[in-house]
Amino acid sequence: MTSNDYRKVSMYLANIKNGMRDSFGDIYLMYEKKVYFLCCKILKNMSEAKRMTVDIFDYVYLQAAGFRDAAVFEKWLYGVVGSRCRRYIIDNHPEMFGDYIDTDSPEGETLDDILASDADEMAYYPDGIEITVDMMQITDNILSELPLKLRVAVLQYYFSGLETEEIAAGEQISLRALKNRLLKGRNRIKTEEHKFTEMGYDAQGITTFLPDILSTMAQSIVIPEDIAASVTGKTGINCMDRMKGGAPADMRSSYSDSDDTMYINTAGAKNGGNFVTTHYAVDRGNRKEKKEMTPAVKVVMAAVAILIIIAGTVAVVLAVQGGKKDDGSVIATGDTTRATTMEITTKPTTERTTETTTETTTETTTASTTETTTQTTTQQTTVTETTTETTTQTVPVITPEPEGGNETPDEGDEDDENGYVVEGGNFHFNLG
Amino acid sequence: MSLMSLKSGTDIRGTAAGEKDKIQLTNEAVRKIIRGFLRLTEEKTGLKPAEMTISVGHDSRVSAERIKNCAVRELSSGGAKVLDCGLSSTPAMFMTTVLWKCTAAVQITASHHPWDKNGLKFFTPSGGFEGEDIEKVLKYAEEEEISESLESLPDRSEKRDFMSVYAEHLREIIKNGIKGGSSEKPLQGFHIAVDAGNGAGGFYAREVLQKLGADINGSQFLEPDGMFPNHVPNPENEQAMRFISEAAVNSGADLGVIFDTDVDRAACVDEKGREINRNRLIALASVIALEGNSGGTIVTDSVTSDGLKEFIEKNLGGRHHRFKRGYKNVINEAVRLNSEGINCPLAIETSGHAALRENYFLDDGAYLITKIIILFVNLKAQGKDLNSLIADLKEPLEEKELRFKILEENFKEYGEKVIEALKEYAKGREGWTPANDNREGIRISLDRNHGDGWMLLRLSVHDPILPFNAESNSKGGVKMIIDEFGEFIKAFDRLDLSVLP
Repeated sequence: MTSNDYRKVSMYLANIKNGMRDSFGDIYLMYEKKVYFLCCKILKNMSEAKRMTVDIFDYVYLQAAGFRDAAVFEKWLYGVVGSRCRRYIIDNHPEMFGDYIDTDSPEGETLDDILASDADEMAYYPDGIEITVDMMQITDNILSELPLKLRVAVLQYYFSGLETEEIAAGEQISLRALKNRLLKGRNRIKTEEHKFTEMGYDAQGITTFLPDILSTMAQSIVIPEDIAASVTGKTGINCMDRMKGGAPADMRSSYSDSDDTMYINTAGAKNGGNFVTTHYAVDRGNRKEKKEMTPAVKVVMAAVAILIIIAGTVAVVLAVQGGKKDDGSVIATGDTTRATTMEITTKPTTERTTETTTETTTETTTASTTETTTQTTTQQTTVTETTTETTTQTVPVITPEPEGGNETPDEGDEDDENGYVVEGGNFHFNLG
Repeated sequence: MSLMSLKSGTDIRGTAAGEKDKIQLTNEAVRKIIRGFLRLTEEKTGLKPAEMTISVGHDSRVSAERIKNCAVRELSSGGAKVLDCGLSSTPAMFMTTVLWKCTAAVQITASHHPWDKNGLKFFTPSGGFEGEDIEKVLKYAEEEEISESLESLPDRSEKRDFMSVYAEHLREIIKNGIKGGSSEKPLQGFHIAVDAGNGAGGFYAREVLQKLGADINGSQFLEPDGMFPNHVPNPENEQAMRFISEAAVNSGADLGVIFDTDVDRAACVDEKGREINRNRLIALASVIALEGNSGGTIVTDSVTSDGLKEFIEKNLGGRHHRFKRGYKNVINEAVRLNSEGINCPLAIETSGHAALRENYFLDDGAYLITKIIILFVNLKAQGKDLNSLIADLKEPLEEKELRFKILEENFKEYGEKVIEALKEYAKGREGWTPANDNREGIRISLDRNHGDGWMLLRLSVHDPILPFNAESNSKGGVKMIIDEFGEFIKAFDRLDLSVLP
């Protein structure tokens, strides 16, 4: 908790204690995204997370006057989220606990040692890291694929900041069992981080900076407006922030004409037939400041980009013509070595650019002598409603751990409730 | 930090979770306290540690495991035989000294206090440690030096399930108390909902009631959870009582029962969700206690209603001995009266602490509820209900409590001065009659023209607070009482008068 937040929350709690109940609205605004985020990540179901968030804040409203210390209040709040979600899962989705059994970690590896080495790794990032959209998406995927017990341990430790004893007591397990869960969860994240990094994705540092990434994800999450309305209705305290824009009703359109926020849909793993999506709004606050480019520079950059694309396309054509796989089939752009893929597409809606960042990666090999493919990808992310190109970035899907034993692979196409089409295990998100 | 600051009446209590640098019950502090406890127990019992058997239990708090670990290791390394009883109620830990003949017992709990607090209570067969015992424990603790690491200490404790033994003890009491029912399932056909508030009282629903055939549908928050994520486990808390009222009504229960965190307090609600707590609970408990104790004396705290006094003395033929606030105060007073030959079967507070002489004057919420259930079942067989027993209890229409903060450093002296001044002010004042049986602060009855009720001003034992209570039998009476009192109190500029409406 930052000292600034500590002061604010302490003030709000003092106000509530002194009878100024309206300050509950301030408490709500400070924690709505964090609580909703935590519920989403534990329950993996947005509508259940919504209901849970409303119930939790209803309870907080009744108890807030009993707190003086902001840090104690915050820990209690996250503990309540964990407890209530746990109870909800026991009562409604006991299968989510699955076949995961608590076992000891390998000899010689202790949580304290691993956490210490994670802390040491910070030295390799003297300037910190930029928390990119890709990083958030990859982290979201990794997290979603963790078994429930490991996921909760990781979230409560790295996001909520609870101590291991507190998490163990909340989960009603021994401290030793909790440490093992935390260690295993962390190790899985590290393994996936390596895999993604080796494949060239922006994943390096995920484990080291996990608290910051999770915090950014929570800040960026798009929260359904009816949560605030429901809490207002239950408590009688105005929790609606009229200055906030709120998410567009249709999350499939990724850019809005009226604000400078880009909405990105990411996928969690399948959960009992319901696709879980989490919506993040990436705005200026989550990105490093980029230098404003002059119009002339922008034109030159655009021209260079177009030339690269043309060159790449030519190379691909040549590769397709000349390159074949061992089985005689043609190597095509977009082929990957993984059986399943997930695509995330970002798309512009207008041409107006006020601030643009462009990152271009190009991998080129000759098709005739090697088996690699030539592929040029340009990824452009903006904080306003402008890009000039549509790009596709492929992110491998992590093979899910069995959780509950009732997850079966998709067969054929099916539409999920959000209109995302699943084809034989490949997830495509078409925005707009 | 001085360990003396952890004294809280007859308990030791402090911050045990949350921000690391604010924790008072650190491992080192706990270890020292346990050593101090062991030393005092040696003095009290004349036994060497190697001759002692000490049981250790805890409630559902998040810091319980850590503190217990320190306690069992220190006790083991001190030479005592240690029984690790795990999740337990406070009264059950005392009962280990009775049923298992333990030399002493340690209960790790902070009752209904917030999640980040914890504490220690100590028992011997003669009862809980008194305030001066706690002072000695802490004094000895401060003399201790911790040199070896906690991990180097052996844990030779034996894990024992005392709550099953205790639950069986309560089941036997119910079986023996119910007339004419099935010997094994005497609660068959009865529906009782239990709200344990995620404390240690969940065992009562499953291990006592359900095993005796009761339908416990509607019971809630039975699983221990130190964050108390549903409501504060406190029968005096309005929200908590609302929870059990709703649970009982919604599930169609005949009776709803609620416990506090460590089960030394309880309350109940009837099938319509009407609360049986505070004065009503005292009235019901008095009915139970005075059966076979005709003319007996009931000791209560000071804030009980006039209607309760009338009920105990006119309806039940007993005597009402209104004493001081604080469950230890009322219990000790009851013990004292008995030692002077006065038949005193019950000591009970409006907070729900009820200690029956037949149960070692142990404030045990589970035992009280057990007695109420026996009465309830026996009444049902006669076509009656619990409310019929207390139908004649006159209850106030209005009540209010104000707490005046004393701004003076020497708050005890100032507070006593205010009380003495009120005694003088009340003399001869029209419509004001100071109570002659009051033993704490000053209690004044007011006639119909001055509020039609009573007021009580007393000094808090530990805090710089002057609590003020008022009740009235008439609408608007409390406001009248407070207005009259306000005329007096506003002369005192070292009191925070902002609480006056």
